[in-house]
Amino acid sequence: MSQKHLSRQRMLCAAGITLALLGLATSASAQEAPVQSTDSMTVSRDAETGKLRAATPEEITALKAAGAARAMRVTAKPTQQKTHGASGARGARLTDEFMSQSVAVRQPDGSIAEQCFDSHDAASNAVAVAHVHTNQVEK
Amino acid sequence: MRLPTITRTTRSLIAAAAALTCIASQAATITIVSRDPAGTGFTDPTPVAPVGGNMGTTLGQQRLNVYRYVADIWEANLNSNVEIKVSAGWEPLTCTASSAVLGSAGAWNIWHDFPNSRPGQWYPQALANKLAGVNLTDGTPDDGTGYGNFDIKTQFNVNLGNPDCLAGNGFYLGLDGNAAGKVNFAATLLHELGHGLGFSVVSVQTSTGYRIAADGSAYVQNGGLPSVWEPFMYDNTAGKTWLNMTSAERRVSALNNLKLAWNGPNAVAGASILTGTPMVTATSPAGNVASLDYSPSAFGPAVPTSGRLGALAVLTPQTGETGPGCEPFNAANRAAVAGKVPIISRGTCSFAIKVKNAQDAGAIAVLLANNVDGAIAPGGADATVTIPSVGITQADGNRLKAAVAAAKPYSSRAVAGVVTASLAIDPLRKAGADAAGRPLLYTPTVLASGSSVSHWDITAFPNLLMEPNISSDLTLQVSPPKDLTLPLLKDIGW
Repeated sequence: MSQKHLSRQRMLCAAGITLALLGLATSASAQEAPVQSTDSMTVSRDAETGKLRAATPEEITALKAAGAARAMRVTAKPTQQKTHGASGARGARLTDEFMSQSVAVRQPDGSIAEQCFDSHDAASNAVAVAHVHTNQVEK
Repeated sequence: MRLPTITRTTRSLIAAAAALTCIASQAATITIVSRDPAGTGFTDPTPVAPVGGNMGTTLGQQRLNVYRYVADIWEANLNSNVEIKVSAGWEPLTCTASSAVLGSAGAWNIWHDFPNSRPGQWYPQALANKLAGVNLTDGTPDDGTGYGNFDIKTQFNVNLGNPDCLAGNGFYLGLDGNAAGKVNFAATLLHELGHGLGFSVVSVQTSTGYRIAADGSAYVQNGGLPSVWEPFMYDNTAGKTWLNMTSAERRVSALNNLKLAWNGPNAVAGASILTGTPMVTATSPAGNVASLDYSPSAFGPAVPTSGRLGALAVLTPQTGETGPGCEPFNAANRAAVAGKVPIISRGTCSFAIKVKNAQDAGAIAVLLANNVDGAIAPGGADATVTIPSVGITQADGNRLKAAVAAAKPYSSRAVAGVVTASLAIDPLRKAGADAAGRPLLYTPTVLASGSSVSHWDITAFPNLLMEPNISSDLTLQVSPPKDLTLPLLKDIGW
């Protein structure tokens, strides 16, 4: 596994722990997607020792980006509800947050890898960390 | 390029005839409406040379030509009596020097319980209009944007290729696919418009499994309406479709790697175009060696799909080496690999260096074994590599190394026993389909990687338009024998 994959795995691990600490697990009784808190104490599970430790600045930055993306995703809402008069059909107008979005990242060998994401925020995060999913690795 | 005036006149005549004879549907008409200010985007006056069949002489005209070309492809493949309206703009989107948002698209309105719909399911507007036979937004005031009632909204990055925006790798605006290191805009747009037309489980939030409520107000954990996709999303582990799952079950299913299949009859029938799974087989005097999957390297000659690869060999660690195969081979390893196929573990240096060192030592092919769990497709570039190589998993690499060791005691006279590897295709396992031949949706174990079930799985071969990664070998065709996009759209009602 590449270093990129390893660091990503660490970030995801840390993200899961942080979200758990924040009590963001969805309540069984919640009916509408919750809004994420911005307060946090961030820890990370060290990939080598397996123990919790303070997150590095890099991990915190990545977590904030991922967390923001998550918060925006769960709060995505249609902007307008519609009714078609003649048929009684019900509709909704969506937002950019519902759009699929393509990202390109230059790979170490100079080639360009493209990936389509299911939301703006996931795509923006991919651009920020310059990583798209591919099992093609250089070394 | 098509001749718009003639085509539209023809369509009008057909439409009139259809209206008179009550014929159900006609070829779709897709209208592209620009949101760009004058002199930008589609009207950017920057002079450019015609490229790859795109005869526009300004940047704006070439952009518009690609949009029209791609819209024509969809028009030729879809039927609808209701005009499909696409709002299009060129905008400054997120960029760095080495990465960029290319663009986005999606249905801008969704509907349920309209005439000819399956009851209680969300549809993208273009498809809903087709089935209802009317524009469902007629009578709804625009929201002031000018495109509030459009079927699809798209935007692409106006800065791509600038120094601070994937420097030097702008959009290729040709229509022939020869993008040569640039981003193939036609393929990217064809893919994104596919999402807007209905290749998307748009009304389900895959990170939670929540659906959009019947009143269209928000995602809800319980009681929302399913997407028109859900009856076709069959989870092989759960043994049911998303239609019959709870939100929690859908969230798990979205991460169920290689287990979520599309069971719509058109796409399942079309999946016969997928090839068998490529595999390495091995024979050993010490007993059976299980076949294993591989991914060809991005460098070196094309890997043959069948035939004898050669006798396998294992390297001995060299004094002072930085990693397996990373330095020129010493005498012992040269003797071990000459005329054979070494199994070289991943690590330290690039795959291309390892293969080149093996080639210089006389190897005829290389198996590159991962050094962690998971499959790998060895990347890199070296034009001097002339022997084939493939990536295999760590577990498979260890299995083959063990087989080589086990074979050594078996011999005829003074020659040690060998394990001989060959390449073959498993016709019973389609690349990108489940055991029943149903095409797989993309459900990476870690959804945080971003892509969603609204794509075919990346194991599909030949490569498909609606995989999350836009491949360089796409043909801009959306139906078999090249692609499965249209069959899926037909399954949901197109």
